[in-house]
Amino acid sequence: MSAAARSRVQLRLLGVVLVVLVAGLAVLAGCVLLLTTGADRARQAALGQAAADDTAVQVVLTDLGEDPGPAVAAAGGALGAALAPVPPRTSTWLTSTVRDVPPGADGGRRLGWLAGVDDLPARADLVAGSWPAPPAAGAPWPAALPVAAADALGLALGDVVVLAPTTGLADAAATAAVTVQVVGLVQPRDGAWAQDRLDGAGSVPDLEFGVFGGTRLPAAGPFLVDPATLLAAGPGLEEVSLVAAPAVAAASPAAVDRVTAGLGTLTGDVRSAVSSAGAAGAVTSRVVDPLAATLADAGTRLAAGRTAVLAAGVLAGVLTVVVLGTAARVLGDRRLAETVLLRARGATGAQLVRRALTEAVLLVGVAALLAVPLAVLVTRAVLADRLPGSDPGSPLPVPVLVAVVVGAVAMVGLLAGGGIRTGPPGRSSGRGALARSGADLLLVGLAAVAVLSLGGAAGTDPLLVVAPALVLLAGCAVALRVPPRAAALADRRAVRGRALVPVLVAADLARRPLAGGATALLVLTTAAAVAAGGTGATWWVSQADQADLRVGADLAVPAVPGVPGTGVAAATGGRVTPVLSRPVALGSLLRDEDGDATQLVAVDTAAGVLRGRVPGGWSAAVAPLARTGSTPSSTPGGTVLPAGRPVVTVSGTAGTPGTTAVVTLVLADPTGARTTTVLPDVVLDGTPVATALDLPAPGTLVGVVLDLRPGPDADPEGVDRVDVAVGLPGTAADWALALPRGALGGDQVLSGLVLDPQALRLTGRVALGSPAGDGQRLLLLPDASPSAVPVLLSAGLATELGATTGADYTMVVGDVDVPVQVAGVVPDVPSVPGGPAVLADAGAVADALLAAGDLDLAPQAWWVADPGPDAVAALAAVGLPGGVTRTGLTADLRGGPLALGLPLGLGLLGVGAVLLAVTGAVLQAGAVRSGRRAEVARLLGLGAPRSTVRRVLLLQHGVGTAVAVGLGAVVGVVGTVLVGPALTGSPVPAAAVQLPWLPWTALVVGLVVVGTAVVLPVVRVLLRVDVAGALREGGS
Amino acid sequence: MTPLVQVRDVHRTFGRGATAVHALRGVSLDVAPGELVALVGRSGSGKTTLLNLVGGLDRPDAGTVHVAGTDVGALDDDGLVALRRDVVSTVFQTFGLVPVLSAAENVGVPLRLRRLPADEREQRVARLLELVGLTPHATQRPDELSGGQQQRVALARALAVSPRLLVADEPTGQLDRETGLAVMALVRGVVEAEGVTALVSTHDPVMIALADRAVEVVDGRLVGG
Repeated sequence: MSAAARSRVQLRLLGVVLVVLVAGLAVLAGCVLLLTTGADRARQAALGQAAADDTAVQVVLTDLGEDPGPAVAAAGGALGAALAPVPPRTSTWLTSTVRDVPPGADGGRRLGWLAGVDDLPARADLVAGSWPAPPAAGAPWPAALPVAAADALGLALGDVVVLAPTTGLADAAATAAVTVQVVGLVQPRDGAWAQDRLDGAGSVPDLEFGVFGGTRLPAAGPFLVDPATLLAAGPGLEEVSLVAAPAVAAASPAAVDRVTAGLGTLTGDVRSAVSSAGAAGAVTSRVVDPLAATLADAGTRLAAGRTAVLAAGVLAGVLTVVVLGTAARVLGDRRLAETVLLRARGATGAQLVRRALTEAVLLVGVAALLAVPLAVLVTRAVLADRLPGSDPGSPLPVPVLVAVVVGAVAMVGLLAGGGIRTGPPGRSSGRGALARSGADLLLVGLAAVAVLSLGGAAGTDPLLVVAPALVLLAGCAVALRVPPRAAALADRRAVRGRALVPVLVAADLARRPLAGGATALLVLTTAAAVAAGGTGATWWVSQADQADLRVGADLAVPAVPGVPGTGVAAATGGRVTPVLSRPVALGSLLRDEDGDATQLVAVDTAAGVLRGRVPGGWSAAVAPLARTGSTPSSTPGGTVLPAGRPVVTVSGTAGTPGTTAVVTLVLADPTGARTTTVLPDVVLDGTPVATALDLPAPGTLVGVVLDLRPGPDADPEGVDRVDVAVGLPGTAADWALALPRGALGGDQVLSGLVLDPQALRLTGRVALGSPAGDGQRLLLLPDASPSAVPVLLSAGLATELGATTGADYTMVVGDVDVPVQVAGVVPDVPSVPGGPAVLADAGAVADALLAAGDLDLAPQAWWVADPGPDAVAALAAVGLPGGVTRTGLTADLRGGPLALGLPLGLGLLGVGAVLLAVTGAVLQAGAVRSGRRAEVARLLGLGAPRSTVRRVLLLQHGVGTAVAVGLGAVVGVVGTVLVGPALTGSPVPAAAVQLPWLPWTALVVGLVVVGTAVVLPVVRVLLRVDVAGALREGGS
Repeated sequence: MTPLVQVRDVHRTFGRGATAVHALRGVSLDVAPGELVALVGRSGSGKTTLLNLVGGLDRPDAGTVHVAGTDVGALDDDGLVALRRDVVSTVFQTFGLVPVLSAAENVGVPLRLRRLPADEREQRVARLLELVGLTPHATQRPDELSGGQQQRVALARALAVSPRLLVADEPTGQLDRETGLAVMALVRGVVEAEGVTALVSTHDPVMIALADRAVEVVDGRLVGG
């Protein structure tokens, strides 16, 4: 029979073989495309979408000495060298030390400073005048001022200002006064003034100043001058910031890798360059490198995707080999008689091999011509949809060509080997068939993949690449032991009955070994499809878990001074809690072994805003953190002040003239956020001073800080009589007098003073010290401060400390010691995934800080529960940009550029597995047709009705298919549990296995239905068999 | 006595036109109840076609075939199935056993088609296996039995429902001489003991000798008989 004639006769079988080849090659090409072009485009898109701040590198120099020029140039050179493969856009920001500016109309002291920015037009809009230029010799330095600074200082265009020499520091004498002339007024652009002392605010009433920051003075600036002039001026520079922003999104992967390597050594390179510059004294350098973190994060996420795609590709390869091996065997069986005849007629082995190879090469060639364009078109279409704007790159990268060629060669070998069998078709067990299908050779291939992957791209785990395939193969081998035993039980029962159908069905399952790769491949392909779906579901939910933990609440937004919690609540429509989030030291631990600082996260634990996975739920977890008396942060004790302009009156007398009282009110708004209002100084001469507060919403006065300062003639060793009253509107609270925790004196100081809690009047005698000192700080508090703040520790932190529930520690917040007690341990604290963190109630922490005299109580962020749909935009409109929702982050984690690899890889695997499963079912139907003809004839010849024979065939095939698919599903579930979470990467929190029963059930039912349905036409044909002829041909 | 089998002027042709094969050309034959008739002839003479028509595995193109008073040609598919189940049992040259069933289970297949109670079925199977001398091999599967043993199982199965007519197409064709002789002797014995009518095609002279009469088929026509 000529090859063409044979092909026509066996068209259906060759068609099945072609489908398997196309599916296998398409999945292979698709996986390689995802690993190469896909990964490059994903990284490109992710870097393109990253915020500008996240792709910049900053070198900050301080302690610049008298000649900062060489150090600045050296640091710039080191930075440029590290980023040379992707030449960056750079900018330099010089900031001088603070200087005195001429006093204002009230004669009070004011501060200002100079700055030089080399890309000022990109950071600000010129409102009036001109940009600063280099000064003429001997002339004042042209300077531009932010509008807010000019207003605060009362300066206009043309004004000349003398900035005194640097003040308050040891090297003050080395700097000279600088005369500037205001030539321009500028408006800073949002987000472009991160290097500015005031972030572009222009002025502040209480800039911390002095060696230990103990003085607060009004300040305004900067005076923007020509940067070269400022640099050449010598001493007086407090800080130089070099910012480089390489266009990594548009760079080649090789260039990005070189930049990553350069950034890894940048800190040392800068340090060594600066010290080699020979600057007098030790210049301190610091590298702030969000770009490295961004690249590392992208690399980590891409690595997770790469591992998943590799694993999917390996498993798809296993399936293809098994299915192809089965198809080749069926083909060989079909042609066995012809092959034996040819051998008998003198055909040599070489001739047979040549014939088989020719056909195999043709088949594989046609398949490749179909598969590769299909894979390229589909992959590029998907990537273009998910990664708009990314460079599509070469349509057929070399790795894809190589992979397809290697795969094609392997397929040719498999096909040709199956096509030249000369032995009789023997009974084969599933496991034996697996081996003969080439799975044992695949183990060699898997080992090769593992070896090749060793030392490959960072983060690719070779064991994880091969684990899914090994687990499923092993599972299938074990699973194939089960049916014979179960079938034997069914067989014994059926034999005792009357009917024929159960006997024939059970005997077929029990006594005919699960033959051939057809059943084994159905188990394996079903397992792969189930595992792909389960792993995908696990990954899907894991992204939401990660987002929940990273955001911490439904919505999180950084706090901005001047925007109160009530504004946040009004804009979002949700429940709002202030969040105190700052690095702390706990016990002796400042940073963990990874260098991460311990983070305090304090929220209103009664507001129910916490999100994230925790055993028992957050309500139960934070229950031990409730404030004493179970009052939440938002309803603290104290005097309630009405909204509007309530008036507070401070009056009093003192024994020594000139004694002054400075009253600071600590208010809690309806969200529980603490704000401080410093009332005007009151000289204790009996004259009351009334101040109207501006409260947009009712607030609760939770503390009064009374700073008593001695007059100019005070006796430094003496004790002064004082009588101070703070008149408040509203209902009085039960106030108590206290000293800041840790203050000297303690009981001795308090013993001389009496507080009338209802009138808030303090009388007695107190030592105020010298006029040059800080006087005496007293606290009036409505609630007794708890002895220790209950806290929850993250599991990692608890392990590092060896902490257990009930343990007492001292937590250092800024400069304040806060006693804490461990109330429990949680896996992770919301917003600090994987890092050392402490969770506490915001009100309890604020009270503890206030009890220590610390007035730094403003929240760093706002967390919102159940916000409205446009909350992020609404917050930006009220001056709170940067809001992040957990749903938005979830969407980004699931659908962002770096999240493509895993779902696409699993999708390829799932589709491929289902296609191969159906193909396997078709192969098995073909085996039914060829293998059951005689059996059907026997039964019909014995007088069995056609309906009985039909039932027998359908049940034999259907039960066999259902058993195989069911076993495959079990193996797939086991595979999901064992390997699924690991394939999602190493997220925090760890991925929780998801078992999507509904989709799985639909898949299993679908495969059983389709797998059984494919045999229907075969049964129809078989029932029309020529009984006599078939019985004449066939044997037992 | 009315013949159990009455074949009148039966024609059967396979194919059409120039390639048509006239397997039977006007064959007429009577087989009396309890008779063992041997059909002899070369390969391709039409023996098997005639046996298939009598056995209800095929229908004539012309003429009539009556088995136990039933016109086989007039039966529909269900009728043919009933004929094969209840009246005619066929033993094939290739034995036709179900490979996954044991000897006893193979013998029991026709009894299951009649939904005989299990106890009754097992008793009958045991008796049949004893009849054919295969009691020790009851639990063995066909691939564990010799050709002769398989043929005896096939014979036992054919007798399971006490058919009126036993049709055997070359029952000893795949057996050696000695085994074939034993099988034919068994057939002879069953015919006499059970009162079964048998129509057997064979080349074997010994078989012919054991038959009550022999009918030769030459090119689709009967010669003699």
